Amino acid sequence: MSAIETGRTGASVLASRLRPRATWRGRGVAVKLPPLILGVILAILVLPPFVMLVRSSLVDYAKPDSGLSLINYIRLFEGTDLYRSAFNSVCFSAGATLVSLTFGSVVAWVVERTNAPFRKLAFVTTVVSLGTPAILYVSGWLFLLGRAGPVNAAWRSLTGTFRPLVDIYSIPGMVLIEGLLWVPLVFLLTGTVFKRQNADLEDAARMSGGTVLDTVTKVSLPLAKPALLGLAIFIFIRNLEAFDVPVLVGMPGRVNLLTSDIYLSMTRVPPDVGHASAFAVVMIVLVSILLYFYGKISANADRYASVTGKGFRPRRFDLGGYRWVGGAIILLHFVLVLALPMLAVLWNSLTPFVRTFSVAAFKNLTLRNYSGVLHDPHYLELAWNTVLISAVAASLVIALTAVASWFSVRRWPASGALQQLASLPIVFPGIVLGVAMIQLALRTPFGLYGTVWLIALAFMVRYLPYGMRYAEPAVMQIHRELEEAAGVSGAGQAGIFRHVVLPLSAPALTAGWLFIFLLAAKELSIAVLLASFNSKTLAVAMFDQWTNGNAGEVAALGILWTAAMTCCAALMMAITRGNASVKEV
Amino acid sequence: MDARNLTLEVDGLTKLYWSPTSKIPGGGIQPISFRLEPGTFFTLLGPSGCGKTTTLRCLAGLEVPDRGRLALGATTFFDGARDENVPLNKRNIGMVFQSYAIWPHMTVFDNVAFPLRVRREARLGREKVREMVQRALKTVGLDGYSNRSATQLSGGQQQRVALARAIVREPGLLLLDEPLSNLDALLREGMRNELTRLQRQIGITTVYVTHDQAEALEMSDVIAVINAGVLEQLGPPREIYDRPKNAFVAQFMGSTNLLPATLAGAQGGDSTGTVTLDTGETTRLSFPHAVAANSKIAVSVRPEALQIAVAGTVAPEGWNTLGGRITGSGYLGSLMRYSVATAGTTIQAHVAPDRVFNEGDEIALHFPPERTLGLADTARVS
Repeated sequence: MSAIETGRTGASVLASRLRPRATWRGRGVAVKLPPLILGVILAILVLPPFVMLVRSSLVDYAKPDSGLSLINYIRLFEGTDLYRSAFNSVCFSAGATLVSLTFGSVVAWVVERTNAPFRKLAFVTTVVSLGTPAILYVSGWLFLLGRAGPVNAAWRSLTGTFRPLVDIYSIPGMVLIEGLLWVPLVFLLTGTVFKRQNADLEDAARMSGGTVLDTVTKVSLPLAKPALLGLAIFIFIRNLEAFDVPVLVGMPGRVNLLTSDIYLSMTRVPPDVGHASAFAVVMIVLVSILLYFYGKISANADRYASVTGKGFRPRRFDLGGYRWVGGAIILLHFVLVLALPMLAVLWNSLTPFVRTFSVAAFKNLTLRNYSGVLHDPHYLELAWNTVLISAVAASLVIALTAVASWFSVRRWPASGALQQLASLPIVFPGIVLGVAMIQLALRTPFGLYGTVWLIALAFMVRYLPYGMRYAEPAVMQIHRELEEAAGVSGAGQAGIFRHVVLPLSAPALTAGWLFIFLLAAKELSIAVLLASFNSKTLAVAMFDQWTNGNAGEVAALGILWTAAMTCCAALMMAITRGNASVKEV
Repeated sequence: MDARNLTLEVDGLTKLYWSPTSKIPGGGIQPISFRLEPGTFFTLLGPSGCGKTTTLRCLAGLEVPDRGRLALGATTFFDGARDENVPLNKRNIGMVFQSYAIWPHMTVFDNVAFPLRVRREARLGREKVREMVQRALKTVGLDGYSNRSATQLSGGQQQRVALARAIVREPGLLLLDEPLSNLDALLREGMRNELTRLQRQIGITTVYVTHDQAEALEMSDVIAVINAGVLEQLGPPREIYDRPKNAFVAQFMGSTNLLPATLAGAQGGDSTGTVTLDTGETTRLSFPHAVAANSKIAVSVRPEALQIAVAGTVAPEGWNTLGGRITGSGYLGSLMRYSVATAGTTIQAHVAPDRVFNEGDEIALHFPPERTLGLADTARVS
């Protein structure tokens, strides 16, 4: 590729005259058209939600005809809600990040780099959690630590007081639940960081006379630090965008966060669209700033990756007599992340009404909730809707990003903006995208509003960046000579893509498809605003049932759904075994 | 049409790479022209980054040249003046890549059949494809490997698959991009013979890129020595080795000792003369190519052209003599390698191992004028 300096010297003038107008991929319109068409498709998907959001944030809905104004922003910044919610959000996110990062990375290190027992159990825990809707976990913890839950009941009967031991409807309670929710992802991501560390560097430290502790604190941790810092920012952003915990735990406890504020102003009657939009724009700005730093740090972290190809072998530390400590950590992980909340959900699904755990209650266990769920055709339709929406969104995202990545990684002419366009929706928190898509749907002439396709469209926009994160490295690892050989052999560009690029990136694309499918199938924050009675996803139905007080049905539904999704998650893990199984997005 | 009886013409081919900031090109190839008779084994030889691979990729259609003309037989691949460019998939060229580029998701058979299957216009039947693939596999000695997965093969076998894929549709031109550089030394020796044998057998015009001068000497009919994008010399191996055009070619084609000197009067090609080395000694030498007056030259003496004698020994009639002291030696079995410190520089001499000198011995170096070459020294243009 020749980049050319224009003007100034004779040589450059000569050069610009000689500048090739073609690459081996082709020349002129024929080669520029496919990337341009793809760019237009991506722009149509990605840009309108932005425009809608900014526009509606500038409309004074009290006087809709008065033109654009900054009134929503003025109200937002004059009021105290924003500052209080932002403060709560930051405390909540920082706390949850700390919990998940500490716990998740310790478990990951024990699993990836030591000879502790029960290591497989950590993967089982993670796989099941990946398929579980967050609302199910939250309901489990709310039961366990709620006012009437077993913990507080035991405390009361022990001490005789009426004051509960734990108030789950508080920032610390929310931090605990949210923190545990993110442990599986942190586990997977830090696992890849630890796996990529070159054991030779640690051996060198040991041979220089260092103990295991010295080696870990002076070599392993500093090497992992940039990656962990980047991950911390990433998890912090995701926590800032969290929806389930702020709404399910925060709102009953009157702890408002940025996301629950947006949700409240959209669901109050009449909805305060201007306020919500202005709020959403502020949040996008906040997230963009954080993402900027995240990008800088993770670019830096790549330099620390000590994988060098040849002779690379990660090695496990021998914990010796402390193996049981490692095993205990893995068991604790299993109990806190999976067993406890799931047992609580299971209990709820088997009891006819919400009651605390007791021996007496065993007599009343019933499968009524399950038979209710299984015999209600509405639930079957919901499950079908959810699978359909998620599958369509995942398929389209993977199809678009596979081609976009190919164009952008191979630097096709006119492919410059593809990567940025496809990655742009990363700045949308789920609830914000929901607000934007509602605005969009209300203005589309064809009846998008209230259909499942609106949700599918929103999922597509949301998960485009995720698709890029899977597809780009997949194309990058294809040696360019494999494509050139196909070209020399007589294949055209479409043939090269079909016969070489696609089959070789298929494993990564399949894993990406499953990951997006799993996320979409349990996504609540986008769907909750876009769903109507006829176009619900299962996560939204569970949310509605929960707010209506049907905890038992939610639990039974959740257990069944989790079982199905766990199979998908297991498939994804099996496909990506050995590689980075989940990408940060 | 016999696709294998075609002349390759390269005329003024230019392809320069520019980095955004520099005023001189960052690589590529300056205008290069040559013409290959059908069946020639042609080698592009030069140090890495010299432009030899760029030239090959222009031939393949993987790079679009800045200007010039490329034609194979009656087909013009590229013509800068008329803005013509045949895309690579329409050129009917076979190419073996440095990494072999064997598609790991296909079997050996599928890899080799690919060029036949993507050529829809040829409408080859299933049977015909099978037959052609089997023939290609047989040619490279891989019959019986059809159903192996390409990833189960050794480096040498992958090499053969790549070759079979390149020749299966009987292309008009075979391009080989450092195909031996990824093989271990023993296998490389074997594959050299194998490749030349195959090329002679098929009779296909072949362009071979390498940075290994031994490969080039052994395999080629014609060698082009390229340095920094410029074609330094074009000719048969013996011509390049024995009559290098300048100091760079002499040094790159095998090792040599270069002694700086300045030429007073102009010398024609194939002439003999006498010059005074910059260190003061007078040397009789031959000039394979013309050198202008008052130019800096390098006097090139191959290590194997030197004889070592005890200091004071009289040299054979007409030979040159340089005095020196042994500073190092190495025993290589078939020969002894000595480092000799002379007035200006250290000279390497390869002599038969029957006579042994010790470090510190004062000796005389004798060498015949016909193997003492006066060469233009482009690196030291005055």
